[in-house]
Amino acid sequence: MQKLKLTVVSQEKKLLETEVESVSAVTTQGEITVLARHIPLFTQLQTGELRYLEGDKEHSIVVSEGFLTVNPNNEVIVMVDTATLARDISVKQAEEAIAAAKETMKISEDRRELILAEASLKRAMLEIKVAQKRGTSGV
Amino acid sequence: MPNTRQIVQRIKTAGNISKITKAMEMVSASKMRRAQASALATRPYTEALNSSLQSLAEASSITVHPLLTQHEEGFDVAVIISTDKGLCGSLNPSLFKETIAWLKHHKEGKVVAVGKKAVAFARLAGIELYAQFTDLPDQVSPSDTISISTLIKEGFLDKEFRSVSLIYMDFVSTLVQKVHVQQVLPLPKIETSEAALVDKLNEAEYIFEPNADAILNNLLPYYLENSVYQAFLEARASEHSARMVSMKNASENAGELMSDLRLVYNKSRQASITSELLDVVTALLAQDQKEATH
Repeated sequence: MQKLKLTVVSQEKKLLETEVESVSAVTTQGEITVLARHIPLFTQLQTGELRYLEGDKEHSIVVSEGFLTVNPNNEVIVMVDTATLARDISVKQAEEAIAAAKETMKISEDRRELILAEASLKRAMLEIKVAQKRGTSGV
Repeated sequence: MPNTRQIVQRIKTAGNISKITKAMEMVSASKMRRAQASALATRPYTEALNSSLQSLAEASSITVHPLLTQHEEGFDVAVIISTDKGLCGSLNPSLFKETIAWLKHHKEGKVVAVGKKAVAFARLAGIELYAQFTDLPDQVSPSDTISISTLIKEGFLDKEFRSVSLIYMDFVSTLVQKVHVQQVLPLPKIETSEAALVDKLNEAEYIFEPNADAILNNLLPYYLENSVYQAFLEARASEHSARMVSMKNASENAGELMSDLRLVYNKSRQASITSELLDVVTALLAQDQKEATH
């Protein structure tokens, strides 16, 4: 019997690569089982159990959302997402990043104002000094 | 001639500095190896993603996806991926030089700063920051970069951004890192390679469930996230190798300084011995002369 080559990859690394008899997974359309010489298929996985038969032994791993591809040459590639949890809070984090940038801009704005204020103060002091000098020499 | 004790002090200082830089070199070397390994480990996913996109590109009306289409509204955004810590040679300055060049071409452009160094630079140069990300972990994982890809994706889809580019250090080798400006949004057109076409001709058509467009809609964000994540891995590998090399140089310089100082120290020691001897000899001679005259 022909075997399937099952590869499970995540964004970070290859998680699994093995020869199997069959692969069962939960897709968005329902559970499917892939055997050798399956028609080329491209589908989306739901969070769930991925079962595969290696010889007589059945193994099972839990996968998050992802994609499953069956290639014409008896190759099954499963792309899983390791960052599902982070995705939920990412919008909030992005907003925080924008807020942090605004804070930075404000601080540098304040600093710039401070520097400008200091410069004008210095100029004023200098003008007073010059005026005083002129005043004394004029008298 | 400087004081002998001062020279001894300086030799000690140089020695201490070289000890520290040596340790930092070692730390960076191990971090660099890890960063390089993780950059390689992502390859299977990228390959799977690219081949999926190629299959999808033919089966769907790919040109209509909003992430792929150009629009005129909004401003351009550059994401500078710098470091949180310094002491990594010319890495950050070259990034900033490139950023200034980018801003010249994109007058209305805004900057998303990643890393404390980029934030400090933007403040100093008076560049308008759109967002800032600091204190990302040393070993970046996809979860750490997702907030950045979400930010640019949402901004682009809301037509707030016209385009998004990443500016980061591309890792070429331990000694060579190059500034790289990569446009990530709108996503570059997915080109179907000839090998894939041949595959298509020989083999049966793919079945897409639920359908090609729906899958593409869900897959493209992953593609964007993956590009951002890859850029981060490159940037991290570059950071650590740049730091390793600059620390190595610093250790070597400290060694040179120490040997120079040792030479000065020996010279001054010999000089002091000579002058002491001279004192003794002149004293003796003077006494001899005194006795002879008496």
